[in-house]
Amino acid sequence: MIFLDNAAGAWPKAPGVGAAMAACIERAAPNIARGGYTLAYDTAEAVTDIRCRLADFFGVTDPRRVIFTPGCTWGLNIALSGLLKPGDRARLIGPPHNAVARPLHRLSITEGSGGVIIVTHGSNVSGAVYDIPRGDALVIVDAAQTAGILPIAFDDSGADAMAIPGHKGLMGPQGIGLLLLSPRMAEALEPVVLGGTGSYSDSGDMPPVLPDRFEPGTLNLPGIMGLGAALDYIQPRFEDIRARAQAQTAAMKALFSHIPGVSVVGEPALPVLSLDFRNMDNALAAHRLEEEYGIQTRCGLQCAPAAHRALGTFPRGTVRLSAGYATTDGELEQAARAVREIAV
Amino acid sequence: MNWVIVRGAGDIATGTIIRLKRCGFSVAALECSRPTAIRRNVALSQAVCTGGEATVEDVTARLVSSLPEEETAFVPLLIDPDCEMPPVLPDRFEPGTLNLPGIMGLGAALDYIQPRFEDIRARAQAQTAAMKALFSHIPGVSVVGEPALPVLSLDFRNMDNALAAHRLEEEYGIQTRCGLQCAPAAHRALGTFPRGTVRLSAGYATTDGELEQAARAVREIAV
Repeated sequence: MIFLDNAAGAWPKAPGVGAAMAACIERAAPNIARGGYTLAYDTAEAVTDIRCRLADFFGVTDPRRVIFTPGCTWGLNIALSGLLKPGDRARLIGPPHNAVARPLHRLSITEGSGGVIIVTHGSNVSGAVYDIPRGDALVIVDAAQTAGILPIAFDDSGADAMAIPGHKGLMGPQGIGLLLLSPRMAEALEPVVLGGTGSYSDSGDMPPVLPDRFEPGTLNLPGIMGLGAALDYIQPRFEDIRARAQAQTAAMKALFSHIPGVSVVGEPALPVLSLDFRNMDNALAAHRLEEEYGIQTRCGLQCAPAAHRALGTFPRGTVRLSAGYATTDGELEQAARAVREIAV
Repeated sequence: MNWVIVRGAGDIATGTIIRLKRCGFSVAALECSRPTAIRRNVALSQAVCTGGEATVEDVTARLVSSLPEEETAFVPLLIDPDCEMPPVLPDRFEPGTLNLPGIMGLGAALDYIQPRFEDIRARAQAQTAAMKALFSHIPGVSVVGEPALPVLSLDFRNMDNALAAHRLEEEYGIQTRCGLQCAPAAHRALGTFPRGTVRLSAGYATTDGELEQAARAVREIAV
C-alpha cells in the first residue's frame, strides 16, 4: 500500500501520539478549570505547557492567543462567523476550500475590497502557496495545508487569525485544531460558541480573557495530549521536515510533469499535486490506482470547487497525490510508473 | 403520484434504487450537479455527467428538470441545487474532519455500557439514595435541592464552601467541585448564589465505602 492522501490527514501519525492519548484517557483528570484538586491542576499544567510550546512553534508571543478548537473547519467558522456580518465584503486570496466558501455563502459575503482579507495559504487541490498580505485589513488565514510544513511566525506574518488542523502537517490526531489570534483580532472577534468555562461563572457573557473567551465546554484533552506528543516529534526535526517536503515537491513535479496523457494542474509549492487524465475519467483513474497498484489518492473536487473552477478542472475534478514526511522516493517513483501505465 | 425519493445516485444508492424499482416502487433520485461517485460504471449518477441517460443492470436513469406527472419506466434523476451544506444527514451538520479517535473511544465505551446499562442505572439510583441518606443530616451542612441523580450539592453553613472543598482534598483526598459549576441560574434558584456549593458526584466505579468515607469527612469538617 502506498498512502498518497496526506493532504486529507497525515499517515502515519508522529510516534507517541496514540500512547499520549491513551495515557490521558487512562490517567489524566476528566476535566480542567473545574474541580480544584491536584489531578486537575496537573492536567491543566500539561495543557498549559502544550499551549506554550505550540505558541513557541508558531511564533505567538502570548500563549493565551493560541485557542484549541475541534479542528481547522471549526477555527475558520469561529473566525468568519464571529467577525463578518451578513452582506459584508471580503477579499479572497487563493481559492477557498468549502470550510471558507460555505460560511461565506451563508453570510452572503460578496467579493470586493472590504475590511477583511481571507487567505487560503496552501491550496489543497494544486499545492499552490499564496502569500499572506500585510496592511490595515484584518487577515484570516486557512493554514490547513501549510501548518507543520512551512515555517510560520504568526505574530510577524501579517495574519490576524490562522486556523490550523492537528491531523495534517502536525501529524497529530483528528478532532483537535488551533485558532491563532492577533491582539486586534481577539478584540474584534465575537465568540460564536458559548458555554461554561469554569471562569467568570456569575456573568451571562463569555469571559473577557483569553483563551477562555473562545474555549467553552470541556476541552478535547486526549487530542491536546496527542498534539503535544506530535509537537515533541516535529519541533526538533522541523528543518528536516521542511527540506523533505521541498524535495518531495520537486520530485513529484519532475516525476509527473511529462507523462503522456496526464497534466499536472496548477503550480505546486507543497507536496500536493493534482493530475488530470486527458483520455479517461479521473475518478476511474483513481479507482484503478488503488485497485491495481494499491496507491491511495483522492479524486473528485477535494471539497474545493472554487480551486477547480480557477484551474479549469470543474466539475470533473482531479486525482490528487499528496506525500507526507514518511513517503519515500521509491513510493513516489512507483506511483509515477503506475500513472504512466494507466494513462496509456 | 407517490414517488420514493432517493437522495444520491452513487454506487450504493444505485443498488437501493434498483432494488426498490424491481419491487415495483416509483423511484426518483436526486444528485448534485457534480456527482463524486468513483464507481461510475455502476452508478446511475452517470446520467448527470452524460447529460442524458445511464443504465445499470436493467434500470435506466434519465436526467430531468422536474418530476414527471405519471409513472415512468426510467428513474427520473433531478439535480439538487448546491453551494450550501449538503441536504442529507449527518453530512449537513458534520463539516470538517471528524474526531475519529474520539468516535472510536466512544464506541468502546458503548460496548461496555450497553450490556450492563440496567446495572448502571440501578447503581446510580442506589448511589443517589445513599448520598441523600448520608449527607442530609450532618450538622452545619445542607443538601441543596432534590437530587434524583448521584449529583449532590452541599452548603456549609459555618464556613466558606471553597475552603471546605479545599480541606476535603487536602486532608481526606476527596476530589469535589466547588463554586458555581458554570450554572449561576441554578444557584440563584437554590438560593446559593453567589457563594456556590461543594458538589459531590459519584460515578459507576464509586463504591459505597467511598461515599461513607466522604460523609465522615464532611461531618468532621463541618463541626
